[in-house]
Amino acid sequence: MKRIVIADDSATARMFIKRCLEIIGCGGAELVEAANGKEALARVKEAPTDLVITDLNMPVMDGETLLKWINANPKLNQIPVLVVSSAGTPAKEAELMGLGALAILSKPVSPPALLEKLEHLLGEPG
Amino acid sequence: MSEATERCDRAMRQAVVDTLENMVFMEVSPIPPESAAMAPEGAMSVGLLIHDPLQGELRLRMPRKLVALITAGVYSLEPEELTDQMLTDNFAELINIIAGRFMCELLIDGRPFRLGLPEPEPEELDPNSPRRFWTYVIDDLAFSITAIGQTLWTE
Repeated sequence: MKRIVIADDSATARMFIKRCLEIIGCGGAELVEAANGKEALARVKEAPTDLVITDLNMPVMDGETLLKWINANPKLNQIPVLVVSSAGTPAKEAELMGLGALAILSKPVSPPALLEKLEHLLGEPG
Repeated sequence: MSEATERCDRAMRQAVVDTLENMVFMEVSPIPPESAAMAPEGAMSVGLLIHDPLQGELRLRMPRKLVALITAGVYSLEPEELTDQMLTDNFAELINIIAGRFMCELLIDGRPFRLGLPEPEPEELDPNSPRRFWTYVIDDLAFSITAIGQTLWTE
């Protein structure tokens, strides 16, 4: 089973992403929620993770810092990180891609947009 | 009206329409401010600071009934099944997305920007502070957005 960590300080946003994942056929995956980057990092370290989906603007540890921590850790840096944000200007997107982000999606996320970014990554649904 | 002010107005209209239509498939229409009276006791308010590269703040004010309708759409629940926490959280997410889209539209050179975190029920604004005010309606329920920080509509 795939394991996906979803980091966003908004419970609404996490629920929205979970619903989109279910719609695109990832409903069978283990969906692990985190309310900030620090929590997400802890969740990523506790079990093998196939994907991290993170917001940028969060308290305690933001998504950009989470991305840097994951990519700086040789045990974690193979995990793809999808950034979901309402602050995705072209300059910011280029910066995040330079830091190792798999892709950047604008909020609110739609199932087709999510599927386009993930279909090659997740392989078999669930 | 200056070109910068027109761009600001356009950016806000686009941000509000895109956010609500993409999030919950609700049709949003601009209305004149005098048509947007809201009873203070039935309204929710949330603010969000814009830190860089322009400085300002956005305030979203909506009837609780409309927040419940939008939240019910997001959660696929009946409005009566929603908790206060769901309403507050979804309302905060709304201003967050609107602010992000607004800044993406406003900064035509694509510069990065930095936003604060949503603040529920912020203090009343200084009545003398310069602002721009937009009003919209969804299903006969009016709501408003206020921008504070002149650089948002003058630069």
